[in-house]
Amino acid sequence: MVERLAEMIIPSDETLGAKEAGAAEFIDFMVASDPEVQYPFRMGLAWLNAHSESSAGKKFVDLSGEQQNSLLVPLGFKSKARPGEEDGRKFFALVREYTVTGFYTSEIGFKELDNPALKFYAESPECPHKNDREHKHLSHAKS
Amino acid sequence: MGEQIYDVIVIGTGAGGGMAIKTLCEAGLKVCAVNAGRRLDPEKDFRYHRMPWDMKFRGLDDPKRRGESYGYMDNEYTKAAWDHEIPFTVAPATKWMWPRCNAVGGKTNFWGRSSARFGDIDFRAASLDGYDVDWPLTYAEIDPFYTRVEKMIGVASTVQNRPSNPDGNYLPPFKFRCLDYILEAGCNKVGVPYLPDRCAQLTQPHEGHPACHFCGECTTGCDVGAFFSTPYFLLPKAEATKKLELRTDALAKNILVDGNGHAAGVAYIDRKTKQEVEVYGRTVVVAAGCVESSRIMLNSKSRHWPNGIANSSGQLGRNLCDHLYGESARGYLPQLLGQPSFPDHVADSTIAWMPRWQNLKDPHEETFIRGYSVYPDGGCTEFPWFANALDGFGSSFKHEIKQRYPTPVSFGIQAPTLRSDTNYMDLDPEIKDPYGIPVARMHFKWDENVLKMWEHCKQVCAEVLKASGGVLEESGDAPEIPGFSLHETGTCRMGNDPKKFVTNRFGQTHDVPNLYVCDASVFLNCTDKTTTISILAFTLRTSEHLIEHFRRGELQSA
Repeated sequence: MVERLAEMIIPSDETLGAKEAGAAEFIDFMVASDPEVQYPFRMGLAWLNAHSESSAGKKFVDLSGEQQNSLLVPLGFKSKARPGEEDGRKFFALVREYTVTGFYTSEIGFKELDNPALKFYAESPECPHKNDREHKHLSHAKS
Repeated sequence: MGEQIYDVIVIGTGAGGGMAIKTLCEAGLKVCAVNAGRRLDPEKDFRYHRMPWDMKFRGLDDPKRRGESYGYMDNEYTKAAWDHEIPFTVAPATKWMWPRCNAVGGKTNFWGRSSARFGDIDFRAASLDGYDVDWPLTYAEIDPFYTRVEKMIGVASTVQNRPSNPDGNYLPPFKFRCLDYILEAGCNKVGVPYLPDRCAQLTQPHEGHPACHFCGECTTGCDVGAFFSTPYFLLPKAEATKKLELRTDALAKNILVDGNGHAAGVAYIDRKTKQEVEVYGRTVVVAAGCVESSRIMLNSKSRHWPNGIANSSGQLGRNLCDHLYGESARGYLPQLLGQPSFPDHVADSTIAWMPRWQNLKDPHEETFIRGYSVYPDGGCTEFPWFANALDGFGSSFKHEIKQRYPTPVSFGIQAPTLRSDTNYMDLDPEIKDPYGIPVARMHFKWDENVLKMWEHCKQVCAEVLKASGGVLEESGDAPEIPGFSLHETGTCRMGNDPKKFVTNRFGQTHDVPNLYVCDASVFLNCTDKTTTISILAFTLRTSEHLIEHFRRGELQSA
């Protein structure tokens, strides 16, 4: 179930996602190492399954991707939040935080951001935009 | 007794201890250094150049250590270096954190490397604004020592002609990144300075030390010694003289005195055998770090010194000052959305600074006195911390993280507290450390003046961010708790009047002529600048004063 949630939070699309990066295994390991978050995770998973049963008659993992998405949208998007789902939103935020951590500390996550950590340079790297120090006219920048 | 008597016993091997040891050994004095922790082995103890996925907990450390770890610099990469065994206590209503690296080299192993000189605006602050007292020396006296220290350690910066910041001799500065140019333009509009910081990191080879390779992992320790630390820069020189005996895992307990109440040596606990050991010397230099040095001196009670050695003034442990740290503003620069990633983290902290700009023309221009400095930072860091504040999930979320990756910026304040009677440390009357030594007890609260600086800084940094075309996301809620900066000062202040100050203008205690203090505890307050380079400069001056006494024969017979 955590695996499915992680995949939906950081999906594989044009680039690799949480699945390929093993984010769920990382979450399992961190939760197993941390008594303080075990209870919130257990309660959260139970909440989501109960929520899934009551609205679609099936456990979360047995729902179609579309159904899963429609359950998660109100939990993950502030503008779609529904009253009475505070516990679910809190749990989703927790899973999202762990997924982000697991993904972006993995080799695949580093590639996703082209993370420049731990490279070596002969001199301190300088801003390459000599003619536009205020960066008002960058070619890739969105307006 | 047949025991060896050293010329000098030095307690501590951080910036102060290291400089004292090197200077004294090179002058031919026989030195015994006692250090509370072990000697680090960079190969084993520094886990630099490791990717997070090569670490068991991805660098985040074992969650079970949550209660024990100091956080911040004390992490999975460096945890072997921090001391968790010696506790301290806090008075009711005091909050204090106190990460201590007791390994050889102390905090210089991981320090932040910002290295601005103090100036007359700091030394004469009391004359300017009427609060507290002036320092017992002028900038002209300490200037040559700063110059020598800068030559020794190498500081990258530029000549800036700022009224609050005397210039020195600098290696080429770190180059500005995209975010620096953008924020610099914003600062120009608001009318505050944005300049290269003074960073003790070698932008070119210097005095036999290699240049930085800009890996950006300085706070996990450096494998080549491309920034100043005593194990790389000072101890090898001291050891080359064959005049140094370094005793490790030697936790100083108290200073021994002779029949005249003069310093006769140091009693320490050998942490491996748990036995108390005495080592004798003609002179003692205390350089264990501000609060720890004061604790050792307060614990040195004798017939002559019932309230702690060299404490006839009653000022030992008093006048504790600290830097208020906190993130005064955080946001992002939309100009950089979607830009290719860039190595913004290569200095691992301070490429630029906004040096004190307040109360320069008139000491009472603002609603507070004195001033603060700001360290801006941001860009592509090792981890996209901003992601947790974004909304949603799925491809749009992943895409937004990628777009935002080069854009985050934040501003960190460094603001000094004023001396007060209610901020101090003493010995806890009941709690003792595992070796039976009374622990330090902290009494501390942010003062009104420093909290006004914090409010002022939040406003200015928000303005700067807006003027830079940035988006403000968070405008500083609460500052870090006291102790976080590791810049505590003031508990053995220097001054000419023996009734009011612990040491004289050279760091020699008024009461005990063969006892010297070489750390930030002799500073009258912490100013808006960091402490390390000043500890080095003041210690160099103190050490030469001590050597002069030896030459004149005044310290020959203990």
